Amino acid sequence: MICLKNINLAYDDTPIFEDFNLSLNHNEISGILGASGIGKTTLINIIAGITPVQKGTVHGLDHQELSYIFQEPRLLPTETVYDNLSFVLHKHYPDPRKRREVILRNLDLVGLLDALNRYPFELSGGMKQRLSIARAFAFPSRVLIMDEPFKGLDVKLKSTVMEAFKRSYQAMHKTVVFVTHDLDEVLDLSDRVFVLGSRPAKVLATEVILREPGHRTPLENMDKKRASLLKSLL
Amino acid sequence: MKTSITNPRITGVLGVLLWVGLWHFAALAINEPLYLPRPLEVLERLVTILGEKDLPIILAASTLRVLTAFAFSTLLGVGLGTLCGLHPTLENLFKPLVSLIRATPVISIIILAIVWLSSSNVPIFTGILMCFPIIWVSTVKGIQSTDPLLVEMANLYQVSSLRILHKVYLPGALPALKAGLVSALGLGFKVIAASEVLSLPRFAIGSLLHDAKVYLEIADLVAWTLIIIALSAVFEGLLEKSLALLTRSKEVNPL
Repeated sequence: MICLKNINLAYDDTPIFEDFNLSLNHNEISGILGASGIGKTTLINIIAGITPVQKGTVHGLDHQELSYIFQEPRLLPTETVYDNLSFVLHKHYPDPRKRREVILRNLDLVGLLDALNRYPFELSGGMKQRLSIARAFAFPSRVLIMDEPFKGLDVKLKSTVMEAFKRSYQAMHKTVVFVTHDLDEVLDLSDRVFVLGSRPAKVLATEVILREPGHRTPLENMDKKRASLLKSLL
Repeated sequence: MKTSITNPRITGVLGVLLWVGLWHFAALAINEPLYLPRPLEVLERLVTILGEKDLPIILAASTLRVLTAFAFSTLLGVGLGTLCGLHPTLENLFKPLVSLIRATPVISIIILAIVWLSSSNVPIFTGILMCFPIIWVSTVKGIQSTDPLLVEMANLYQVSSLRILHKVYLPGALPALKAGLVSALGLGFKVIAASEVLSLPRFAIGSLLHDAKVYLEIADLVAWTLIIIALSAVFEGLLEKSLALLTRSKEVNPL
């Protein structure tokens, strides 16, 4: 379990987190839902160890074992699709044959096998984000951190990118922690949802969205769950 | 096919003809070759100089000085510039020194170098001092203009520092660095010629420029100047081409 205990963080005397606690299960997709500006990205940066806290601790996480999907794809503009993946895998897969195998498998999962030798400027926004998903899943991590990974994509692209994520997730289960302000994304992807609200940020509600093992189809009462989450957000 | 007046090649040739024409008419108007020789006189002297036995040695010696100074400046400028671009504290330590060198008149550096060094080393020393700051500044700027989000991504994925330098910083820094290298090489030819005029090493274009001045052979002076311009243009072009080849896939595509 990833445990955040008594986290305190303030920017210019404005408290963002005050004795904040959160527990996230391993091998689940934990969605953290909250309005813009509430501190979602800060929270995920604290979990990732990017932002140091003034007080409190984060347990149950080895920062060597993290991969990331950012709001923007963050691809190397001078490297091909293949080399963008190779760039982060060199250290962990020194054998070129093994590395190639991992890269091709992950590109196949996100539907980019045909774009192997293309450069990022030759890819659409959706393809770029799919490549960043492939990079995160190809990296040998136990935990995947996602910061609003579908933000800025139109409805059609978002659905393609989400499908790519689901395919990769089914092939390689990781503990996923992601933040978003989009209720539909959370309902579609999460096993467990935490609603973040007010300032200093608090967990206002926790909702478990059960799914059949190995499937991404929710079992029951999605409308009720949506309404309950929406209520806690408001 | 229609030939357009806006074709850059045609307008370029027209530009050269226009300015050479103006030079010709100005020389005719002044009518004093000691002040301004006619283009044809200069061309005649140029042909004679190009046929001289010692010319290859003179050109090679001066070019070698420029290239030596340029190579040292590149090693120093890129090496220190990269370190300073990555570490602001180091940049602050080097900034005053680089600013001082940049602000010092080239003539002061040449005279000091004449006092300190042998005549054949003066041009190289001066060249290094003049080219290094340009390369240092462009490297620092280039490194600092690298996308910080890419650097953060690479660090989070635990990519080695050397690999980050090669795959993230180098492509980010290349446009600024290329511009710096090309302008440093151009400056190198000018500075080293000036330095040769004052330090008078054996086998040097600058020494011959000095002789032309002393003996009031103005056509020779202009002809040697044209040779320096041509050499500089050829080497700048070669550098641009080799940098383009070396970095073809390494530069950030603007699209």
